[in-house]
Amino acid sequence: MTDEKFLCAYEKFRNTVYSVIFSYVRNADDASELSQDTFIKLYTYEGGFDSDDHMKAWLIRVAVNGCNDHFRKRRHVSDSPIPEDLPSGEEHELDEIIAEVMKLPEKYRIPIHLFYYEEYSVSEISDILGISESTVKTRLRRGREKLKKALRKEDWL
Amino acid sequence: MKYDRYKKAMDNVCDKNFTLTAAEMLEKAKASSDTERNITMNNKGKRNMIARIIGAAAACSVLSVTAVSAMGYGPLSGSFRKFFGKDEVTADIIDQGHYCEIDEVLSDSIFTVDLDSVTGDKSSPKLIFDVTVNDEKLAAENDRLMLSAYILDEYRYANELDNYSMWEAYGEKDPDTSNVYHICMDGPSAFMINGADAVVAVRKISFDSDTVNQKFTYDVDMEYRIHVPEEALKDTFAECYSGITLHSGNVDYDLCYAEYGSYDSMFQFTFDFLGTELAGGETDFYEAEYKFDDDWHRFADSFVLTVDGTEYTVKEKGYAGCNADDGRCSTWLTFPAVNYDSAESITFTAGNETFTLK
Repeated sequence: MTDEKFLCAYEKFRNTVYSVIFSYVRNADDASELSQDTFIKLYTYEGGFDSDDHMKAWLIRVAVNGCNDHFRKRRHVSDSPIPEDLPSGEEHELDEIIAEVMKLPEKYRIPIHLFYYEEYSVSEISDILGISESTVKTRLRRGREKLKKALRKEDWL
Repeated sequence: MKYDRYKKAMDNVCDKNFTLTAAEMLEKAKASSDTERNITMNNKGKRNMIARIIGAAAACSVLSVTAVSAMGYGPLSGSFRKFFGKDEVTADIIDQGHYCEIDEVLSDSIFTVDLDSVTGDKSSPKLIFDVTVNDEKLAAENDRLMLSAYILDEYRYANELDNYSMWEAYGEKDPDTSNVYHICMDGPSAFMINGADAVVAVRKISFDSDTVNQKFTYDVDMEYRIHVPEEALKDTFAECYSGITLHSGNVDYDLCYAEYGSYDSMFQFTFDFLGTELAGGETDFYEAEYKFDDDWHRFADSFVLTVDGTEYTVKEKGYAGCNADDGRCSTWLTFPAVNYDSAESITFTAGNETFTLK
């Protein structure tokens, strides 16, 4: 990949990569390190991409794989529901939403993140996570049910 | 949840915490470029790479009552009641001799986890663990910990792990030993009965407080392979039914199966959703599942199980699932445990209809 393409891709997808990794590891430092690893893999990837959407999906899958490898290596991961370094000046409603989503079990948290942050369809989430569409639907539904109980009415669509 | 509020909140987290500039990232990528090549994109490949030698499953001894009493959790020592005092049902099951000692111990630098035994009944098996926390400070500030484990057969563990979640259970600290915790975890009957060989993979140990290390959740990698003889778990009584249909007004639920166990009485129902008014023309069940779950849960509020004159209301209401092949859906609920063997009369009341089960 050329340097110019890499710089564009980084600017375009840095939040995509960081946010999905953060949803997995829930720790800012680990998320930052794993995000860098993901972009390093992008830089050295010798295949091509049909489109930006193709690249984005590739990045997310690499990020997810990286998180799974991270857990398997038995590195300690902070499991605080609210990361220590979440800015203290944030408005209350922003803290609450992130905190409640991050409290969800991983199997609900990740589809919820992909659905609400990346606005992926069920089918696309199924491809990214390698699980069936019915499983994605069930996990989205149950994640929403848990959030519905925790979030204030005005935060719920 | 509103898309824009979650998105904005998460963007703030990203912007505050991932501050590497594009130029800085490029420099890092160039410096590391010799070590990363040709990434494999097949997610499914990772599931097969279980780097563990599959050895013989740990034999599980089914013990007589006398032998059980000599063990840590046997009735004479009373250890189970001492550590899990509120669970009289399991304590009674152990007293009756349904207990399978495993006593397989694995350790890492921080934890020693002893899969002590299996007990319970055939619908609700229980796994008992003892966990020693070798970090004194971590143990000192926590009266309890949570154990998380996959419990599956070998094939699903190796190939379908993403479709299953971990079982979790809290354990309390031993009153006499400050860094030992005792956990009684529910297990899946589907993978632990009928002479099954099961994989118990302990993957996480979590704490409420962790002021020194600030980790809270510790990844562990401890796999136990066990064989549970069928007779080690107390029998349940299963009954198949036909011709019993409950009418909610929206959906007809056919009672097909019940299992009467020591912990609860589980009833399974099937129903068709295609063509119902509730489905409203929808052919994909999962696009309309909210409506069916709501109908089932509302309807179940009217259910009563009557056993020799004693009435029981629903303990837990399940959620529906649909078989894509035949479009037939199933759901379930539980009532409290009843003694099926000794009962002379059992009836099931749903709304204005009453059905005789025994």
